[in-house]
Amino acid sequence: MELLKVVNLKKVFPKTKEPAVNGVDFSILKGEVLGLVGESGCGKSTLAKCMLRLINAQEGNILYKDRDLLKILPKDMHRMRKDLQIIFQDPYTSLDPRMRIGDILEEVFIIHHSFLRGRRKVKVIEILEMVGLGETYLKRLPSELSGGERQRVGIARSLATDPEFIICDEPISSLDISVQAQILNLLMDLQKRKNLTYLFISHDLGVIASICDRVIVMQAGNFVERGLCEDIFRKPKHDYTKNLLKSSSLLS
Amino acid sequence: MFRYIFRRIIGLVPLLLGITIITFAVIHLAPGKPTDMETQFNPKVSLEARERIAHLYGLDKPLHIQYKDWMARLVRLDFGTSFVDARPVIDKIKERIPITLGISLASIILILLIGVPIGVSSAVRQGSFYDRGMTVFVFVGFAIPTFWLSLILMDLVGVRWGLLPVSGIKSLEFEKFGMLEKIIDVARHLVLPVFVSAFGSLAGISRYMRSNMVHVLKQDYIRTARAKGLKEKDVIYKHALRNALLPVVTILGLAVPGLIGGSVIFESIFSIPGMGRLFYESVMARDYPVIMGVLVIGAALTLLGNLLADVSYAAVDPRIKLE
Repeated sequence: MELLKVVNLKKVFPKTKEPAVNGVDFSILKGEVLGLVGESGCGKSTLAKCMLRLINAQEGNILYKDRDLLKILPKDMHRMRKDLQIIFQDPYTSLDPRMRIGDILEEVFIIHHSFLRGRRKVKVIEILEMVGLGETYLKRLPSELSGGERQRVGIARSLATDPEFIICDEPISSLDISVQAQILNLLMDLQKRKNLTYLFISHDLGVIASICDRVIVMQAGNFVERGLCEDIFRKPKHDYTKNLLKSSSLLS
Repeated sequence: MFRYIFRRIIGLVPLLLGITIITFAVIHLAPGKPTDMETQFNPKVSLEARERIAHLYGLDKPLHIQYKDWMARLVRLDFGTSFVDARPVIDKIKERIPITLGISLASIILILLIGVPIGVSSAVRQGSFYDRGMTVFVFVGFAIPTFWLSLILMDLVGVRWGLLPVSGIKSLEFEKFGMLEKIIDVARHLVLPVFVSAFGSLAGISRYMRSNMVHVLKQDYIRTARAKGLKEKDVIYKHALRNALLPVVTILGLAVPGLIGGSVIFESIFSIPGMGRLFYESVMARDYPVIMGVLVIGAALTLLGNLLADVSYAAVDPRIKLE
């Protein structure tokens, strides 16, 4: 079943001629992990931010639950954010440095009127435990946490609205190698338990190969190849994909 | 925290001592003597009389002895008596402080109330016509000389339109007024001075606020706040403003000495009997005890203001721990 459909999405940043995202089309199926791969600067993150209207696209449609996210009112977009979430790449800068972990998470409940005041604290602890942290983190500040712990908070934050779709925007690429596997396992574990749908963005083909159902390969704002994960990795058709695979096998 | 503050205050003592030594030396070594007023301009005064007056003030002793005597009184919080009218220095300062403090506080509050919103709204509309207009507006305020603006306003508002009084802080018939009338009278006298002193300082706070806000709005956690589903208003006023206001707190701590220092220029123009004019008059008369009194209080407040800035920084930012 199709969960979300992107039609002809286009984003051009001012002062640049080449579009960062050049009229792309794709859809995401409920419960799948769709990989989006490409080199740095190819427009992966821009696409992700446009999809959640964190930046504004110039053209296109994002169809979700029979509505176009690019055309709905801010009030309705506010409600949509409950269902559509994102985990950011850099856990060091994406948490408000002056808010305690407990407050960061509780704020989500307050914004979306999720629980009554008395229930919120319990729910915050529940979410923290879900990502492998606990009550002891409530009063701590982002600066007192390690990279892995922060990204767990980032994941907890995105889970707090109880979304059905999460964009994972290179969620492990700024973490230590030793922590990357832990966070990746946590993400995949949560995906299975809660039947989440992921758009998983990465430039690491190994990661994509191990977790994705389908893969889209992106180059300079365009999709150059897409298909089932195995097909892409076994018999890539496009030269760019072949080069990507070659360079990543050189590394490993 | 308290141990930190205590340690810092102990650390201020030698610093303050050093400041008093240097200022004492500079003031006493500067050309001119307190006795000049009574002697230089009067040819009938004999050398003997001159020495007698100098002896009376203790000015015939060596400088380090004079400093020691002055310090010995200061540690008992005795600032000495004025050479000019023999009144205790502390009394002279006490009667001037409320006026200057009142004007300074009023203008700082005005600066914050206007400057912070200007900075924030400019940052949100960065690069817009509004933003550029505000930039011009605050820099016009910054560039216009205080004395010129004061005179123009006195002429327009006070003389031609007759809306506000132009000098002093109370009317001649002040004593006959009732309580409410007194308050209104003083307020009317302070409108122009407060406006002039605030207008010139608007640029500092509003530009500072703007650049902080522009910086904060680019941060990743602002994007996170939007992704959470916060309304744009809450993103700006809750997450961004709280982070951007932080450095402004430091500026306020540093403004503490200015609160009682006053301004020689506009206090003179508006004939306001405040600290700025007291200091100016004392310097002109070489009234050493008053000069030193004002300087010591000013230095102590500057140091305390710095400490206050550090402490308040830690209070508003949980990331900063004072060790």
